[in-house]
Amino acid sequence: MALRRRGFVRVGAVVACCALVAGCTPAQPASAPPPTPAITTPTESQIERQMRLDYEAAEQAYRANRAEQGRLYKAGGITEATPEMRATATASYLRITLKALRRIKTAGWQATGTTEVVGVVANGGWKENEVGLTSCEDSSVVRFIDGSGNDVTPSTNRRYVQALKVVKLRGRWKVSTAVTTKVNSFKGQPCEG
Amino acid sequence: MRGLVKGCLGIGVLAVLASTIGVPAAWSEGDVTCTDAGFCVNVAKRPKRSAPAEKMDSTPPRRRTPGHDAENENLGQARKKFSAAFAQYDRRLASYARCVRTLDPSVSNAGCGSPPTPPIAPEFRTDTFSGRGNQPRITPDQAAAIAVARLQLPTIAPGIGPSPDLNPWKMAAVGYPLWLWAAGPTEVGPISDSVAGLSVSLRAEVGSLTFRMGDGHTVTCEGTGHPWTTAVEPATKSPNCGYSYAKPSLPGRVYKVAAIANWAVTWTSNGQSGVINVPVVDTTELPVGELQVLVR
Repeated sequence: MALRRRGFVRVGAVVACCALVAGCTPAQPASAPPPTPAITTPTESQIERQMRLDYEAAEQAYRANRAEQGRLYKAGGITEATPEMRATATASYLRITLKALRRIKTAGWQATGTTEVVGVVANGGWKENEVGLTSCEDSSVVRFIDGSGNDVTPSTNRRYVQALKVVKLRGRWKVSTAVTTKVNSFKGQPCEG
Repeated sequence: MRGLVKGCLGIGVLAVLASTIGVPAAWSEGDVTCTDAGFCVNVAKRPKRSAPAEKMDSTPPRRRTPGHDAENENLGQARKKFSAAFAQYDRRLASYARCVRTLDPSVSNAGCGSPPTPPIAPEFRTDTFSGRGNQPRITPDQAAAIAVARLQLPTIAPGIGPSPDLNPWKMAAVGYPLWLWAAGPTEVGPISDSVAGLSVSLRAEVGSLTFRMGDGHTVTCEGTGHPWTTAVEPATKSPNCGYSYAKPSLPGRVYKVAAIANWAVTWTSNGQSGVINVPVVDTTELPVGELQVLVR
């Protein structure tokens, strides 16, 4: 019987997947997928525990600082750093965030909305008094209103991937520096959430 | 009047904010910190000047002789050179890591262009430090950084399965679930090294993998992925690290895939310990086409 060609139809790869794999005519039943290794929880070494606790404490300090900044932006800025800011930030990070909040205060602006911390991951190694974090911050929802009620929100891209250095000073973890990369989307970023 | 002052202040702030607007949509050059209001500040610092040699040498000379002074002078110079070389190495390493982490072979200018090579760690000239009390002052984390650089972590080829070589068309197919894994050693050590008299113990393992798939997409996987074998049932998805292309590269093109292995090197030296993350990249090319089947 002659074959009647109805035409080429593009189909999903699943139909033709067999042909993609070597030996595509398995006579025997398809073999089972690779066994999933049993999930075991290895005993946490002392250093692993220390690292985990340090990263947790560093992230907590960063999130507390972000929350405080959000509160202060909504309050219309500040002229001096609050105790919470000083407790959770230091060095250039404290200086720059304070500078921004001062500018807001001077300009008589107020913020609505809060920066969303999309995700935070460990990055950049660990030392006893210093850890690195990468965070994805989305400030695009934060609007700024001036004293006359005008929306003065800057049109710049405000989706940031922040490479943070968090240091332990006198027993307290504080965000020390942040190196910002502006991104259009957090897709593919380690901290995408 | 008050309104005018407010207006002027507002314009001033806008001017400051506007000065930050001219930044491309995605960049990572320079150390800049940006805040909620789009206010960005350059935080790059000039490298600190090396401390004077006398201050770095905490071991007082036992007896000051002209020869000893010359020896101290040489030692001071050597330490100064090392400090500068180490600071430069540190900056290059940071730049290398940034280039690797952002490398995307499908985008010509992403990740500093082409796969970068790691910087070479500064070396000690032991003869410079051979005098009495002349052990170079080096911190355990500096020693660890140098030991890690000497370690020369292996590149890991992107494992992609099933291999295009296994089918007659020598290509991967759009929509077909590919398995991704680290096709190479994923653990190194424990090994020991000695840097300027300090013993450093190292153990390295790949913590995660990042695949730039060449079509603009990125896949990040915890661990080292699961190797595909011929025992895998066709069209089975990888349990922990996989990808399906949505568009073909063919005809005429191949996807350039980069695998970035994120090595975590745990070090211990002189009672201290830490982890240094070192990304290492390798690339491969993958032709991806669309399958067409005859339906009778």
